[in-house]
Amino acid sequence: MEAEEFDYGFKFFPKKMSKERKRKFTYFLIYFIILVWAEVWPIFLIGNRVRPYVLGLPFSMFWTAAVVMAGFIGMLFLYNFDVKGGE
Amino acid sequence: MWVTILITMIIYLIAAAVIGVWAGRGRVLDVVDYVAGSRTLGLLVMYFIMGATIFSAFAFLGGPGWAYGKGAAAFYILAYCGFGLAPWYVFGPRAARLGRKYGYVTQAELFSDRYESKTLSGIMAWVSLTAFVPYLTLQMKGAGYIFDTLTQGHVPFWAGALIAYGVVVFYVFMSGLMGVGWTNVFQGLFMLILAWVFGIMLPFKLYGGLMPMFEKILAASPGHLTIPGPKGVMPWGAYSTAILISVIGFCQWPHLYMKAYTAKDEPTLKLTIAIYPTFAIFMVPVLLIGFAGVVYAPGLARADSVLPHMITALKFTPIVVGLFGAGALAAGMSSGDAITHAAASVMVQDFVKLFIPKATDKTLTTIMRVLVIVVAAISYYFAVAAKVSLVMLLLGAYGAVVQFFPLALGMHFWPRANKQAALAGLIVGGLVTLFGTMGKVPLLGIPFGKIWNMHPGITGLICNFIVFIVISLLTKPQSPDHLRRFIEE
Repeated sequence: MEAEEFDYGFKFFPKKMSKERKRKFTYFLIYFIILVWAEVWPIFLIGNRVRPYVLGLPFSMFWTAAVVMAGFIGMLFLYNFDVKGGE
Repeated sequence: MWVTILITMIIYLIAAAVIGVWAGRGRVLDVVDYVAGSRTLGLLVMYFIMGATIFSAFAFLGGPGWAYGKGAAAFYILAYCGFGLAPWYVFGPRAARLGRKYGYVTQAELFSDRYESKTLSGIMAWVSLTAFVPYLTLQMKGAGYIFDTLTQGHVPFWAGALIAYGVVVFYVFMSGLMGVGWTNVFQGLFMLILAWVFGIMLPFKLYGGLMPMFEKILAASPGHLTIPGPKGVMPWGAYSTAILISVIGFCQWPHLYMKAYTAKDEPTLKLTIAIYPTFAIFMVPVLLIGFAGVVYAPGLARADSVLPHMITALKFTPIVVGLFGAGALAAGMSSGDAITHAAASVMVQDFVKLFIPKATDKTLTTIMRVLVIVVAAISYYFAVAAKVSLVMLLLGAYGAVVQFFPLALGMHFWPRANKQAALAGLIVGGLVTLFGTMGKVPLLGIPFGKIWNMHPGITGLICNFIVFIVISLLTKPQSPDHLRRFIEE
């Protein structure tokens, strides 16, 4: 009996979470997926060059580090939204 | 000269031992304290414990080695340090909440409870151990190289590894997690300072700046600073999947789950994860050290030794060389202690306990402490006897651990996922990875090639996912009452 009532489908978010919050978390997920993608093929093809040098680093190294920094800033926003702000 | 270097390094080792033992003073050593520090850790200790999982001998010796030998391929280290812990923001807090609720201290306790399988717990314990031992071996080799190179062979490889890991075993044995935690804070600060000092100093001292250094590198080795690296050493497929496997695999390391259970509360755990990418920025100077060697010390037989080689060749005062040696030791030991500790804890909680279910807390803690010595001894044997490249070992270990990933996703997000699927996926994924790493199917001798130069762990993971989903849908789901325990309201 009970087995019929139980929903075996995907449960990405807790039931009680607001739609707004779910949407924001999804945006964060997309943001991070794009960033990781920017570190590998094919988006990294754009950054994969020596010139121009930035801060004395070849552009390929600067690109990799800058994307990491963008990830760091994203994590801080995520933490702030998740723990401090929002509902 | 080498005596001063040795003494500096010994002073560091004594300091680490004292801090490690001091951290464990007056604590009641039951299982939850020995394994999870009684779930009381704050931000500072959490940050450095997590940092130590990356800032290993691999980062300190392998990182410059890659920059030296494989050029731009070394940027993969920056990328995975930066994003490696991000997926943990999804898994860590969930695992920690369930851990608090049901009293888990290891990863397999959580997995085997969700999938109702003791077999799974046993398999995970052994997979973890096979990943831990090469990792620990790696750290020991690092310690051996450092002693050997910096004392000009007066303290041979085998003795160096033995001394450094004698200290590690001592404080892990005495203090459990608290020993690991506070020595990691000390070791972490120490090596970060050294990495920045050397990383900035070398390019300026040798080449008069960063850009002049990179220009000279390009003249000597065209293609060094872009993918696929010098002489095409790292094709795009290999580079991309190396990053992906590291980002996915990193969040499934058994000791990360164990560390999630140590946090005193959820905001602490989440903030640790959020500020973690700063460790990637600390890797920048480490790579610069390796790049500085390309023109200055060409043709080294072993790329991993570029850092100690440079430090010796530049004729710094012995105390500076000793400090550097201590920093590199700190990098390896802070990972080594966490791994030794995790390996012993996992073997007892997830494997030994299956056979002696009625053992008291005190007995279990005692067995763990004995296993600390056993695990270290096995790894030491491999470090001294085997001849395998450091980075190959590490990538091999990642390939095995990453196979837990579909199980973790199913555990939190897909109630339909069940026991049969978990076991089948893990076994198929593990075998595909293993065959891919070996390049053939053992015994039968069938060749097992790579597609698009992909990391074998990724191929294994894809097979794992397919098997996991198909078997879940074909077999009976677990009971709703059981599954409700793992679903968040």
